Amino acid sequence: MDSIKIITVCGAGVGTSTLLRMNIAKAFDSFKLPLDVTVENKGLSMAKGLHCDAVFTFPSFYDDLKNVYDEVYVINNLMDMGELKAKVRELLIKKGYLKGE
Amino acid sequence: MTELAKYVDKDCIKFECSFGSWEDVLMYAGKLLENKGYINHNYTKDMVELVRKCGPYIVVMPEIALGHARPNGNVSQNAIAIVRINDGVSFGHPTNDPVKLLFAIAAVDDSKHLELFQAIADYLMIDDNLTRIMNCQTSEELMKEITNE
Repeated sequence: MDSIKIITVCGAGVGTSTLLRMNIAKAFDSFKLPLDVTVENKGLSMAKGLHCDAVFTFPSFYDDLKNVYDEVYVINNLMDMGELKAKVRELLIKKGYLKGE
Repeated sequence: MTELAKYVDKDCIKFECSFGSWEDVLMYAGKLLENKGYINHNYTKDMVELVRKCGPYIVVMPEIALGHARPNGNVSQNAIAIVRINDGVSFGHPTNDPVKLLFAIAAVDDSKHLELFQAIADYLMIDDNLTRIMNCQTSEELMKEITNE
Protein backbone atom coordinates (compact mmCIF):
# COMPACT_ATOMS: atom_id res chain seq x y z
CA MET A 1 0.00 0.00 0.00
CA ASP A 2 1.25 3.49 -0.77
CA SER A 3 1.79 5.75 2.18
CA ILE A 4 1.50 9.47 2.70
CA LYS A 5 2.82 11.50 5.60
CA ILE A 6 1.22 14.72 6.79
CA ILE A 7 2.28 17.20 9.46
CA THR A 8 -0.11 19.66 11.10
CA VAL A 9 1.42 22.79 12.61
CA CYS A 10 0.27 25.33 15.20
CA GLY A 11 2.07 27.67 17.60
CA ALA A 12 2.68 25.44 20.56
CA GLY A 13 2.00 22.04 18.99
CA VAL A 14 -0.46 20.87 21.63
CA GLY A 15 -4.10 21.87 21.28
CA THR A 16 -4.87 23.40 17.93
CA SER A 17 -2.56 21.25 15.80
CA THR A 18 -3.89 18.13 17.51
CA LEU A 19 -7.47 19.04 16.60
CA LEU A 20 -6.26 19.74 13.07
CA ARG A 21 -4.47 16.36 13.02
CA MET A 22 -7.65 14.53 14.02
CA ASN A 23 -9.84 16.40 11.53
CA ILE A 24 -7.33 15.96 8.69
CA ALA A 25 -7.17 12.22 9.43
CA LYS A 26 -10.98 12.13 9.27
CA ALA A 27 -10.90 14.02 5.96
CA PHE A 28 -8.46 11.44 4.47
CA ASP A 29 -10.62 8.56 5.74
CA SER A 30 -13.65 10.00 3.99
CA PHE A 31 -12.04 9.29 0.59
CA LYS A 32 -11.71 5.57 1.44
CA LEU A 33 -8.50 5.16 -0.55
CA PRO A 34 -6.10 2.22 -0.15
CA LEU A 35 -3.54 4.57 1.31
CA ASP A 36 -1.57 4.41 4.55
CA VAL A 37 -1.95 7.92 5.99
CA THR A 38 0.18 9.14 8.91
CA VAL A 39 -0.64 12.51 10.46
CA GLU A 40 1.58 14.10 13.12
CA ASN A 41 1.19 17.45 14.87
CA LYS A 42 4.02 19.84 15.69
CA GLY A 43 4.63 23.30 17.10
CA LEU A 44 6.14 25.74 14.61
CA SER A 45 9.59 25.63 16.21
CA MET A 46 9.67 21.82 15.88
CA ALA A 47 8.29 21.77 12.36
CA LYS A 48 11.36 22.61 10.31
CA GLY A 49 13.14 20.16 8.06
CA LEU A 50 10.95 17.13 8.67
CA HIS A 51 10.23 14.60 5.99
CA CYS A 52 6.60 14.68 4.88
CA ASP A 53 4.38 14.85 1.81
CA ALA A 54 2.41 17.90 2.92
CA VAL A 55 1.89 20.32 5.77
CA PHE A 56 -1.51 21.59 6.90
CA THR A 57 -1.49 24.74 8.99
CA PHE A 58 -3.17 28.07 9.78
CA PRO A 59 -2.69 31.40 7.94
CA SER A 60 -0.35 32.74 10.68
CA PHE A 61 2.30 30.12 9.89
CA TYR A 62 2.11 29.95 6.11
CA ASP A 63 4.97 32.36 5.43
CA ASP A 64 7.32 30.48 7.74
CA LEU A 65 6.47 27.08 6.33
CA LYS A 66 6.20 27.78 2.60
CA ASN A 67 9.95 28.32 2.45
CA VAL A 68 10.62 24.96 4.08
CA TYR A 69 8.04 22.65 2.50
CA ASP A 70 6.80 22.20 -1.07
CA GLU A 71 3.20 21.43 -0.19
CA VAL A 72 1.68 23.73 2.42
CA TYR A 73 -2.11 23.93 2.78
CA VAL A 74 -3.74 26.70 4.80
CA ILE A 75 -6.85 25.92 6.82
CA ASN A 76 -9.08 28.86 7.71
CA ASN A 77 -11.84 27.01 9.53
CA LEU A 78 -10.61 24.14 11.68
CA MET A 79 -14.13 22.86 12.32
CA ASP A 80 -15.34 22.91 8.71
CA MET A 81 -15.02 19.38 7.32
CA GLY A 82 -16.03 20.75 3.90
CA GLU A 83 -12.93 22.96 3.72
CA LEU A 84 -10.68 20.22 5.12
CA LYS A 85 -11.92 17.64 2.62
CA ALA A 86 -11.57 20.07 -0.29
CA LYS A 87 -7.93 20.73 0.58
CA VAL A 88 -7.14 17.06 1.19
CA ARG A 89 -8.77 16.32 -2.15
CA GLU A 90 -6.53 18.90 -3.83
CA LEU A 91 -3.48 17.14 -2.39
CA LEU A 92 -4.74 13.69 -3.39
CA ILE A 93 -5.28 14.88 -6.97
CA LYS A 94 -1.84 16.45 -7.08
CA LYS A 95 -0.29 13.22 -5.81
CA GLY A 96 -2.24 11.19 -8.38
CA TYR A 97 -4.39 9.24 -5.93
CA LEU A 98 -7.58 10.86 -7.17
CA LYS A 99 -8.57 12.04 -10.61
CA GLY A 100 -9.26 15.76 -11.00
CA GLU A 101 -12.46 17.08 -12.52
CA MET B 1 -24.22 17.34 30.61
CA THR B 2 -21.78 18.03 27.79
CA GLU B 3 -18.05 17.54 28.30
CA LEU B 4 -17.64 21.29 27.72
CA ALA B 5 -19.97 22.25 30.58
CA LYS B 6 -17.79 20.36 33.07
CA TYR B 7 -15.13 23.03 32.72
CA VAL B 8 -17.27 26.17 32.63
CA ASP B 9 -18.27 28.12 35.73
CA LYS B 10 -21.22 30.49 35.31
CA ASP B 11 -19.14 33.33 36.80
CA CYS B 12 -16.70 32.85 33.92
CA ILE B 13 -19.28 33.56 31.19
CA LYS B 14 -19.66 37.23 30.31
CA PHE B 15 -21.42 39.31 27.67
CA GLU B 16 -19.81 42.58 26.62
CA CYS B 17 -20.56 45.06 23.85
CA SER B 18 -17.05 45.86 22.77
CA PHE B 19 -13.36 45.83 23.55
CA GLY B 20 -10.63 48.22 22.47
CA SER B 21 -8.36 45.45 21.21
CA TRP B 22 -7.83 41.70 21.09
CA GLU B 23 -5.37 42.07 23.98
CA ASP B 24 -8.15 43.55 26.12
CA VAL B 25 -10.46 40.58 25.46
CA LEU B 26 -7.78 38.07 26.43
CA MET B 27 -6.87 40.07 29.54
CA TYR B 28 -10.55 40.28 30.50
CA ALA B 29 -11.14 36.54 30.02
CA GLY B 30 -7.96 35.77 31.95
CA LYS B 31 -9.16 37.99 34.79
CA LEU B 32 -12.38 35.96 35.05
CA LEU B 33 -10.31 32.81 35.59
CA GLU B 34 -7.90 34.62 37.94
CA ASN B 35 -10.79 35.87 40.09
CA LYS B 36 -11.88 32.28 40.69
CA GLY B 37 -8.34 31.24 41.55
CA TYR B 38 -8.09 28.87 38.56
CA ILE B 39 -5.00 30.56 37.10
CA ASN B 40 -2.51 33.25 38.09
CA HIS B 41 -1.81 36.45 36.17
CA ASN B 42 1.19 34.96 34.37
CA TYR B 43 -1.13 32.62 32.48
CA THR B 44 -3.22 35.58 31.32
CA LYS B 45 -0.10 37.35 30.10
CA ASP B 46 1.05 34.16 28.33
CA MET B 47 -2.25 33.96 26.43
CA VAL B 48 -1.60 37.46 25.06
CA GLU B 49 2.05 36.65 24.40
CA LEU B 50 1.16 33.58 22.31
CA VAL B 51 -0.82 35.71 19.87
CA ARG B 52 1.86 38.42 19.81
CA LYS B 53 4.45 35.77 18.99
CA CYS B 54 2.50 33.38 16.79
CA GLY B 55 -0.23 35.54 15.27
CA PRO B 56 -4.02 35.21 15.23
CA TYR B 57 -4.18 31.48 14.46
CA ILE B 58 -6.20 31.01 17.66
CA VAL B 59 -9.15 32.34 15.64
CA VAL B 60 -9.81 28.79 14.48
CA MET B 61 -13.07 29.43 12.69
CA PRO B 62 -15.17 32.47 11.71
CA GLU B 63 -15.99 34.59 14.81
CA ILE B 64 -14.45 32.11 17.29
CA ALA B 65 -11.11 32.38 19.12
CA LEU B 66 -9.56 29.82 21.46
CA GLY B 67 -7.27 31.73 23.83
CA HIS B 68 -4.71 29.55 25.57
CA ALA B 69 -1.08 29.20 26.67
CA ARG B 70 1.28 26.52 27.97
CA PRO B 71 0.47 25.69 31.62
CA ASN B 72 3.98 26.42 32.97
CA GLY B 73 2.73 25.86 36.52
CA ASN B 74 0.33 28.82 36.30
CA VAL B 75 -2.90 26.81 36.24
CA SER B 76 -4.37 25.34 39.42
CA GLN B 77 -7.64 24.03 37.98
CA ASN B 78 -8.86 23.07 34.51
CA ALA B 79 -11.29 25.75 33.42
CA ILE B 80 -12.77 27.55 30.44
CA ALA B 81 -14.02 31.16 30.40
CA ILE B 82 -16.40 32.31 27.67
CA VAL B 83 -16.68 35.92 26.56
CA ARG B 84 -19.33 36.97 24.06
CA ILE B 85 -18.37 40.19 22.28
CA ASN B 86 -21.49 41.63 20.68
CA ASP B 87 -19.77 44.10 18.36
CA GLY B 88 -16.83 41.80 17.69
CA VAL B 89 -13.13 42.55 17.92
CA SER B 90 -10.41 42.20 15.30
CA PHE B 91 -7.54 39.78 15.87
CA GLY B 92 -6.05 40.47 12.46
CA HIS B 93 -7.10 37.11 11.00
CA PRO B 94 -7.36 37.14 7.19
CA THR B 95 -10.73 35.35 7.00
CA ASN B 96 -12.24 34.80 10.46
CA ASP B 97 -12.51 38.31 11.98
CA PRO B 98 -14.35 39.84 13.77
CA VAL B 99 -14.20 37.58 16.80
CA LYS B 100 -17.52 37.46 18.62
CA LEU B 101 -16.93 34.57 20.97
CA LEU B 102 -13.75 33.87 22.90
CA PHE B 103 -13.04 30.69 24.82
CA ALA B 104 -10.12 31.11 27.25
CA ILE B 105 -8.80 27.65 27.98
CA ALA B 106 -6.66 26.85 31.02
CA ALA B 107 -5.44 23.32 31.70
CA VAL B 108 -3.06 22.03 34.33
CA ASP B 109 -1.02 19.93 31.85
CA ASP B 110 -0.70 19.08 28.15
CA SER B 111 -2.95 16.04 28.23
CA LYS B 112 -5.74 17.99 29.97
CA HIS B 113 -5.11 20.88 27.56
CA LEU B 114 -6.02 18.58 24.71
CA GLU B 115 -9.11 17.25 26.51
CA LEU B 116 -10.43 20.78 26.95
CA PHE B 117 -9.77 21.65 23.29
CA GLN B 118 -11.47 18.44 22.29
CA ALA B 119 -14.50 19.26 24.46
CA ILE B 120 -14.90 22.62 22.70
CA ALA B 121 -14.31 21.13 19.24
CA ASP B 122 -16.80 18.32 19.81
CA TYR B 123 -19.37 20.88 20.87
CA LEU B 124 -18.76 23.29 17.99
CA MET B 125 -18.72 20.57 15.33
CA ILE B 126 -22.33 19.61 16.07
CA ASP B 127 -24.57 21.49 13.65
CA ASP B 128 -26.70 24.19 15.25
CA ASN B 129 -24.78 24.32 18.54
CA LEU B 130 -22.85 27.37 17.41
CA THR B 131 -25.97 29.15 16.16
CA ARG B 132 -27.70 28.37 19.42
CA ILE B 133 -24.95 29.76 21.65
CA MET B 134 -24.56 32.82 19.44
CA ASN B 135 -28.26 33.52 19.99
CA CYS B 136 -27.96 33.47 23.79
CA GLN B 137 -28.34 36.84 25.51
CA THR B 138 -27.30 36.11 29.10
CA SER B 139 -24.78 34.01 31.02
CA GLU B 140 -27.62 31.88 32.40
CA GLU B 141 -28.95 31.13 28.91
CA LEU B 142 -25.49 30.28 27.63
CA MET B 143 -24.74 28.05 30.61
CA LYS B 144 -28.02 26.24 30.08
CA GLU B 145 -27.30 25.85 26.37
CA ILE B 146 -23.89 24.24 26.87
CA THR B 147 -25.07 22.09 29.76
CA ASN B 148 -27.89 20.41 27.87
CA GLU B 149 -26.88 17.83 25.29
